[in-house]
Amino acid sequence: MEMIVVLFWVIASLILASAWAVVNGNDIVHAVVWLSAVFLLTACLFILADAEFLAVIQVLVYVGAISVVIIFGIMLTKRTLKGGESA
Amino acid sequence: MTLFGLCKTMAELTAEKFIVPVLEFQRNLFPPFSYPAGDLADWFASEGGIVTLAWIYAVNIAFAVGMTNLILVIHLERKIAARIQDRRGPMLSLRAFRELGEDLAGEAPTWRFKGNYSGIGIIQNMADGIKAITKELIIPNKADKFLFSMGPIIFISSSVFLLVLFPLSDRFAASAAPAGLMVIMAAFSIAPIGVLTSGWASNNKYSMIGGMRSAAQLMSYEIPLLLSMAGVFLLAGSYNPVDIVEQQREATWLFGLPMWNFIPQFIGFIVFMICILAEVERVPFDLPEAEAELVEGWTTEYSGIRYMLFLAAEYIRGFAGAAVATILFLGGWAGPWPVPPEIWFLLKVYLIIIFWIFIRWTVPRIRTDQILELGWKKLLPLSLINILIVIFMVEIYPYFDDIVNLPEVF
Repeated sequence: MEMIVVLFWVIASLILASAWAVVNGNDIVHAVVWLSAVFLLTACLFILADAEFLAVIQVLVYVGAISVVIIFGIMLTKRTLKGGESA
Repeated sequence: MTLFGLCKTMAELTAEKFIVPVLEFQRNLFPPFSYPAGDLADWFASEGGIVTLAWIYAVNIAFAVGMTNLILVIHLERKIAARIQDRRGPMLSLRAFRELGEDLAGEAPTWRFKGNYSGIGIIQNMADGIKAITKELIIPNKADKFLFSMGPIIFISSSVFLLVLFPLSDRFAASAAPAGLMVIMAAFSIAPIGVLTSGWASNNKYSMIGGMRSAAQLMSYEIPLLLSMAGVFLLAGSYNPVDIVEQQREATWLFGLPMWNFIPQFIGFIVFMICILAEVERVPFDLPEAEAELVEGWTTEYSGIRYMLFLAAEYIRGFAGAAVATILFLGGWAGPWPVPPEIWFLLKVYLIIIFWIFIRWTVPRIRTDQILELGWKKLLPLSLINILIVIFMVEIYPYFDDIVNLPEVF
């Protein structure tokens, strides 16, 4: 099998595993970190498809902006510190 | 000769003289388990293997140059900070090691040079590194262990990645991406996730406030930053650092003086310098780690080598930010002939860094509510005005071609 096909299947299965972790995690912040892993690995797929500019924009927009906005939104909600009063 | 050409020669030499013979020797060492070594030898003898090896060499050389610059930047920061506070800063010279040895041996110091404590103190960085490595790595009991470890990995790896992305000149480059500056900005924009996760995972009020401030800061500066870069991209017609610097080298105005981008796009230059200062989180935009209000913010709970690598990564981001500003607005490696272009580039970068260090020790920190207002109400309109000016300039400059000369890009 060609190298690029092997790489594609490795990255694709990693994307699926990360997406599974987004859905099945207990903690919402963990879910967002896995979501950004999905975005990064998708950028790797774009690089495999010879679409470097699309990969760069994927990282810039999805990882750099959307994930941060989602995490920011989560952090604005009420949360209890472990072993302490609410913050 | 370019850096890549040099590395390719080195790769051909090492592959031919060292790697391939060793692997050929290993091929028949434990048959049949060692046959893959022979396949590897064939690959290293082929074009693909040599090009891969050459890229590895080029990236490592660029990385080593960047880390050397990192040490110099930290040293400059210390010395200038000390001078601004009317002290001398680290002064230890190499000769002081002799006195240290005598102290450790329990002897009375016999060899006391007058110059022991009047060096330039650059080995203070080594002492700090040894101290940080030998300290204990503390993980708080109630912290989220997984994210507490992931945060530093995201932040530090994405920052160190920056070191090899910008070229020092058109021949000294470890990255040949056509969208070079967009790649740099993408690598810059990964780090806030690391800041947010490590701030959240520390299970500490102040760390979490630091992480949230980082996100608020990102939302206010990221859009004006990229919009102020758009003017330069319009003028050069490319995202490639080499093309952008070539455009600035060829453009001239009055008396044939070079017209680097900060002359026609002065508004964009000011907006970009403010935004890149916020991007690299230096004073006056170090809200996430405000040491007076938030006890070092999102880095509070980190200790030992992790904390030192956080600091190092911040200086790397500072260096990379200054390099991007130099490429975009200060003409990159363009300069008069006798000085090599790499030295011109580093001179401009260090000029910006020294300016930042002066800012750091002389101005107060901006407030959280002020940064949102600054970003959205002031910098965003200004960067849009800058794009308008660039479009206007590109459209009308043929009528002023006795004054302004722009290279044709479209």
